Amino acid sequence: MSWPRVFWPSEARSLEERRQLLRRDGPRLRVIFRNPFKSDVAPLEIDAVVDSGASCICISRRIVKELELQRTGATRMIAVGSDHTAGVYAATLVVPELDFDQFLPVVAPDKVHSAPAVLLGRTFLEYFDFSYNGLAGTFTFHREAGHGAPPSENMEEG
Amino acid sequence: MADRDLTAEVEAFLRERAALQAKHAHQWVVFAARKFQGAFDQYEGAARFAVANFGDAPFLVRNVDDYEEHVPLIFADSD
Repeated sequence: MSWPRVFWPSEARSLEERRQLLRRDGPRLRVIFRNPFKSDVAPLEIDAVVDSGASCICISRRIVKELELQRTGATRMIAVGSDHTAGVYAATLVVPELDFDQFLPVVAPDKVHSAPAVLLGRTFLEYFDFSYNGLAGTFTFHREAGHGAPPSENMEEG
Repeated sequence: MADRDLTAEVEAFLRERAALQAKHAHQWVVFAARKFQGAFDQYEGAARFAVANFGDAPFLVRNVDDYEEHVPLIFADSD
């Protein structure tokens, strides 16, 4: 499969329906989480929302329990109007449609018991060039840098 | 798996953060037994080292540049 990869709500039957569903549900990808330290724990497949407003990959505590993820740290999770302590856990995230398979830190709030949910924030997006097209009802991933790069004179020299 | 209390490791990290940022910029560091145990370029290397060597005790894997995480309203308390 070639790049860039363009996605849209598969159930949409028209342009307007595609735009409405994307606005309502957000850009969603089917992902798989695995426990990288326990091969006997079954992987979990779940829909995830791509969210450039989140600094990290966020998962609900239910997923931590189900996968028996190893805690590797602690942090604070600051949302609009709320502030939670949170655990950092080691997980393998697989996104088949993006050929993505990485060992990554994921964050789950300590005392928030929500339904299984996943936000793919900026620690995921740093691997891609991602764009959201509300007019067309699509979102696009590209793996090569450059499409959204600033003019070279504004870039820091490394 | 019960979550362990990482308070001592976090406090040790915070005490040494400035020095770590100077010596191990952008790296992942491991703290266990309230001491710095190593620095790694990738999270995976740090996490595997920590689990292999300190898996039965509290340990902390942290990027020296990390502060708190920001998420949108969707993860606010639902109970």
